[in-house]
Amino acid sequence: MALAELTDSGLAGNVLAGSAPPKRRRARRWAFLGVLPFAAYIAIFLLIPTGELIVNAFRTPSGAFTLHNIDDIFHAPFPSSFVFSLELSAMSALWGGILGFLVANAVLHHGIPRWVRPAYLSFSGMAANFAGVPLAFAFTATLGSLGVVTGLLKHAGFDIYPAFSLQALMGASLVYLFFQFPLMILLMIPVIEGLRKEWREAASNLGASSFAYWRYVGLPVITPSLLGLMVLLFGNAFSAYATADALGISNLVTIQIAQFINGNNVYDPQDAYALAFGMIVIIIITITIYTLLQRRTSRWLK
Amino acid sequence: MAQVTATPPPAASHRIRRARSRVPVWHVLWLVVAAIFFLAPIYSVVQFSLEGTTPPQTIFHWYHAVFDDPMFRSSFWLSIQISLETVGVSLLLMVPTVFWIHLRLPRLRPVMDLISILPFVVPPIVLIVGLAPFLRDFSTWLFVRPEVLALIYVVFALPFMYRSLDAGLRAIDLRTLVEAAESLGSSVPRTLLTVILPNLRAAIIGGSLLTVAISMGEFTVASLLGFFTFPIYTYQAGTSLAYEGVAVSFLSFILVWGAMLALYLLGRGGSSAAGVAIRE
Amino acid sequence: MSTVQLRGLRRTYGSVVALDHLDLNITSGEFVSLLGPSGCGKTTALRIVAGFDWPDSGDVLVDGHDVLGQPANKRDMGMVFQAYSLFPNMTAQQNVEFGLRIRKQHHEQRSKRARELLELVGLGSAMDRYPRQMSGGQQQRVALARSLAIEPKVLLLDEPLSALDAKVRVQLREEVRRIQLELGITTIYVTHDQEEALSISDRVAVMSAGRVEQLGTPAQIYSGPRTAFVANFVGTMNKIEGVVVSRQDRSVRCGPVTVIVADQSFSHAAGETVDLYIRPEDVRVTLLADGARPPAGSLEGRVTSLTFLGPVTRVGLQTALGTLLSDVSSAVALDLAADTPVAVELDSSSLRSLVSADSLQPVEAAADPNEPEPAGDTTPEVVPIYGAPMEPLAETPPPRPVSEPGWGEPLGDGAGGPQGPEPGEGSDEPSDSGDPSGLKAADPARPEVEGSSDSAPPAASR
Repeated sequence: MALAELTDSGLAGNVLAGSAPPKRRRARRWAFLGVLPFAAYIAIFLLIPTGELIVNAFRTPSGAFTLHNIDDIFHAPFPSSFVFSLELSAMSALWGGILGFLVANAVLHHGIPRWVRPAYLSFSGMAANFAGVPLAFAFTATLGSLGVVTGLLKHAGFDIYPAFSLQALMGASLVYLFFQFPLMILLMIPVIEGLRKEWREAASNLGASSFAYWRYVGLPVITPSLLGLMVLLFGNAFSAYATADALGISNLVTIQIAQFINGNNVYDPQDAYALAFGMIVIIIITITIYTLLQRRTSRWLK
Repeated sequence: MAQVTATPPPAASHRIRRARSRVPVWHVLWLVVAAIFFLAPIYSVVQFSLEGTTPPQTIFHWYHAVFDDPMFRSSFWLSIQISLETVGVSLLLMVPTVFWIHLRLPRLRPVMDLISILPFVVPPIVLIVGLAPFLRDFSTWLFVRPEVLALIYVVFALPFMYRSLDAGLRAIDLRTLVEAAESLGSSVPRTLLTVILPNLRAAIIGGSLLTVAISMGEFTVASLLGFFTFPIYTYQAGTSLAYEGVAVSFLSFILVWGAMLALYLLGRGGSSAAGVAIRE
Repeated sequence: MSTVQLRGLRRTYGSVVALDHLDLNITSGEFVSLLGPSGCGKTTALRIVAGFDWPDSGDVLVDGHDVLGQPANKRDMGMVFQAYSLFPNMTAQQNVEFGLRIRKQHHEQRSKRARELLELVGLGSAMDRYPRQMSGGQQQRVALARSLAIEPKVLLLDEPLSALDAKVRVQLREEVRRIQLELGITTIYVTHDQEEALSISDRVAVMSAGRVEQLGTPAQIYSGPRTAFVANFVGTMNKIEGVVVSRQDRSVRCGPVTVIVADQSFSHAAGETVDLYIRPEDVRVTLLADGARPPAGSLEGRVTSLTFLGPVTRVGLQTALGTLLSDVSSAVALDLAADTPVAVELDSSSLRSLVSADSLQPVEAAADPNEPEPAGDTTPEVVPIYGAPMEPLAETPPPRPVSEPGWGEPLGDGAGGPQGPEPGEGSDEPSDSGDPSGLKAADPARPEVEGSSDSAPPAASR
């Protein structure tokens, strides 16, 4: 390992460049070797494949440059799957965000019994990770056509079928919600804890009700964070594959990419690259918005 | 100064006690909504598996069936192996790297932060698209072995392992510890092994648990590359054997919850060992 | 201008007794400090008055009306917190206007009043600054202005200066007192810094373990401590062991000398061992020629240490009575060096025999604020107002050293607020360093809190 070679280089504690004597500068250059294994690994398994696919999105099978693939994704059936992906992601992010915020707030209330917090937080950890195949089955057992809750509702007189479907927007959103909203709870906890109790007490002391506090102080301070996290949730849902697959949804971007890989469709295989590229673009936009919003939150820091 | 003779205080304690332990209904409402939402699928799963049993089968019948199924065992075992390999490679790769960056190359921290976000930008499905040509062209021994999954999973687990190690390293005063060790004669690698690693124990365990969780649950790449891991088994069990699929679902719920509880308790047990500042 | 009465307040957290029958009467316009070490209950008491905590039993009366039934936001009190209480998303002006906005005052009225108050605290030019753009001292001034904007009946201050630099602290405490006198507002001030409390209060309540050990003017507290705790907490004390010779003339034999205790309430029987206390400034030291014997009534001593404290030098002495500390003027101290033989004289009029708070009668009587002062205490007829510019007093306390060793207690009270005792919960609070405006970094991409956020990976197969 590169570290062994550098035992003698001593501590180049001062990283302020320019002022370092030549020996130290050399030592620093050698220091970069220490991250070489990692850099190589990332290059092989992440950067190069990604680069490849971006390049291929603009190539014909024979290797010439073309915009044809990109153009293809604007034609049926791809736009509708993009739209459905975006809708599903937005729905689950919005509701997951709101619900997650409300529950996180409740869990953090000072009067709550001691067992509530570990119970809800560990459960949230589980639920956020429960996505995929087991989740799809659990929901099929719940709200599928033969599901337990479906049966209960039928008993009460409400037959949700055939209007309801786990593969349509409402149904799928509900399933996605199961991992989105616990994720939001976990992510919101540090944000809400960042609201100093002194602000709450000072507001109260000055005559503000709970509502006034949230209106004038609480929400203004955390709204950027809240929105940022919802955007994160959006990205999370957008990239999801396994859950949708197990639910049998077909008009989702991720599913369609998978079909290319399986060779299960009749479209131009180069389109897979274009679709993947499209996904990357959308996710980059998402992350940029998230970062900008996070920076706004840290405006309250010096 | 006014002299007021003290009179016995009125019996106000019950009023005060009520005020003190009041939890707003609003919060209770949402906690209940959350509870219902979380528990409904779990309950349905259990109920479903019960419905599928006819006496003299007990409710554990389907769970027994699952455990007896050789496919379950082989896929579960494969997943465990891959998880352990993933953790091994990940730690071997990440611990020295993050340590080194914190110590000597702090300028690279923003770069690492960016890199740790990349796996989110390139989700599994997209990564596979990028890897597919390699896999088709290079059908060497590596790409038909399940170990390739471990190598790919390292990338998926990267953000979580990095975050965990980064937080752990930030909680200890790394520079001071290394300088102290070095002034006593220790070499850098030795310092890493004997001084730093023990202090990172919680971060390492946390990161490893997350990595295991990801590896055990990863479906996309495993299915598209055609390996028979545990999630694949779950999928097939679900589509072909409804009740077993549901039983497996419930089992994985229990397992994951146990892991999360462990992680939570671990996290509370003092991950920032040396991070407690002493006030002068 | 309101009166405040605390009657029999008692508050426990599980097995921890934070307040143990606290009684206190505060008259209109009075400035009372609650002084004590961490965990003595002073902050708990204040929070109960403010409405952020509730007692297990007891009353709080403002102008004779019970306020415990009122929620915190209806009590019409102003509170200044230790730090971080300014709303980060508002400017100084908006912060100060907040209370008025809640009360639905008109925009012009509000901003006029905000301007007035910010000028009162000396920050008229900083109206548009955000908390993160202000120093700690400035933030606390704004916090003070904000609490005064609503014209509260009572002003509560919870260690408002503890988080500030020493020089700023001294400046600000005088300002607080000046403003308080100008507005005539009844004030309760919590602090662990005895210099702070003694320099600006009308009366000081020295607290320990949930009880008031002594309540009195700063001079009374300093020169007439009633219990060993008060004596040791406020200023430095020498402790001397002796055996009582006669109860009538209150004479005690301490080693080679016999002293007369000034304390009229001295009631120990002959033959009893007692602890006597005397302040360093009342221990007089004179040079002894080599070989000479100390004059009658003095002891022989040797200098063991000299600590320069500015106007005074603290001399450590080794005597037959043990180690003693003596404060001498620094000019005189120039003649002293290690091992110099000296004659040590104890000023009898300042010797006190004190008891700890746990023993009987004398202390309980002393703790009752309604009890008239027993004879023999140095009670000046006119109660001076400390902290504000005024005519020099006939008798001023000697110059005080800058800080007492050991009194720099960690901040805050041991007993928490309504959040309740959760000793096992682990640390929820990331470090505060470098964070004047107080919003902790809430970056979900790198969660710092416990293990909770770390247990939520969006699984690779979603």
